[in-house]
Amino acid sequence: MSAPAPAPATAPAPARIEPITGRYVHLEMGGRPHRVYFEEAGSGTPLVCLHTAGADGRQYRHLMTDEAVTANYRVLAFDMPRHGKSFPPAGWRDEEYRLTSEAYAEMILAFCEGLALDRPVVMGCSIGGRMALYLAIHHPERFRAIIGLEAADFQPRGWYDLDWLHQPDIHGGEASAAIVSGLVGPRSPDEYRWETLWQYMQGGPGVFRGDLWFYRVDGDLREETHRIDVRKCPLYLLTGEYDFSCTPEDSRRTAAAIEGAEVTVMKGLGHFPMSEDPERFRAYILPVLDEIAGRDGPDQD
Amino acid sequence: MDSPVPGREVRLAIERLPDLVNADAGLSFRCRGMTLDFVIASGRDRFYVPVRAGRMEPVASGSQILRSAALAFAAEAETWFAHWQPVPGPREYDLFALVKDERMAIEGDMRVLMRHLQNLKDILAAPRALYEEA
Repeated sequence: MSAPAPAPATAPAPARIEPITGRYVHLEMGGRPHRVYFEEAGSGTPLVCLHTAGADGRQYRHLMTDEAVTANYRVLAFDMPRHGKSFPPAGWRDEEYRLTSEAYAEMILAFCEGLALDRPVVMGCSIGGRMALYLAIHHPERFRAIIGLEAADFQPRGWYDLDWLHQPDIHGGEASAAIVSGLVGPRSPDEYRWETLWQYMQGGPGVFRGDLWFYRVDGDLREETHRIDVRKCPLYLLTGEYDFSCTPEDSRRTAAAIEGAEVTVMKGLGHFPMSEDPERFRAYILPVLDEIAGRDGPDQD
Repeated sequence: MDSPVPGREVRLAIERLPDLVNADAGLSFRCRGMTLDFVIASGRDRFYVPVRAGRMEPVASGSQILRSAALAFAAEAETWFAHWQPVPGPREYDLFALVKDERMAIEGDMRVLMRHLQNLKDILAAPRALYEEA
């Protein structure tokens, strides 16, 4: 009788688990209760990240797994109500969703208060970039720095009809993804291009269209951007070369009205820099985050 | 523009479009729910492009009296040529960028366009492969 085979010398390596954690926070917004999903990773200065219209906080997953970022920053991204894993408020079926400046700002302030974040850095992209400008105008004292990605003071209202994004016989998610697909830079890795667009395909009915109400109609800041004081709160603007929604020219026009503001044009990148091409993006965002960290020193929140 | 004769380049590329699309298994698969005729207009030239369940039939040019099409994509030859470069410029990479800049017109049944938008974008970008090969 032969001896039993020896056990393998080493057990299989455990699967890789990312350091991102996700939880829900209950917030009162617009006089209604909301259960808001957020993810976070890292420790240090809180960095609140705002996703683009029609998408969700997963856009920041690469930033949350980048140790060069998470060593100094507690990176947080919440899914706006109706987006990602945040449900709409009760009663949503019988109302038209239209994101307004006030509601969007209230959401961010409620999130920061709810998590007791002390003067976080806020970074927003697209509608989040517009909101970054709004916060710089209306609430600079609440933030230690503001980063606007693909940020501009306004967008022209009518170059395509937003009603196509919510039709009974057209898949709104696929139509939304197809509209924005050309906003991803041509050299972005295919995996991340389609991951970015998948979020649009997953969007809830009328949500992208409702977000664009803020982008196209309600959030025109042309009369207000001159009030931004970058000495009160540093402002960084970075825009992708291939973004034809918020073009580099749009961001430059915006910056021209703000004393001391500058725009960095990110070569090869489009409208979704953090999710479409994380490697290319980090070359632009790390120096910004390092500068902010150097300005204030480490902060254990 | 690199080519001194984009009009001819564009004509040749459009004529090769069925081969390019039908040889792309992924694109044909994604377009399997699409049956329609559309027009590519390059300057004054018009090309009728029939698609049947994702397979592209031969392109017809010249006089096509009373032939209908659901959609037409119209631009100058130079614009199509720029769109088909391996790495197009920032304002030439996407059909909607060209539309926004009024360098392309999309006419016809917009409901059909929005049902098939990504597939139509992919088909109309297919000639890029010709210039990547070169």
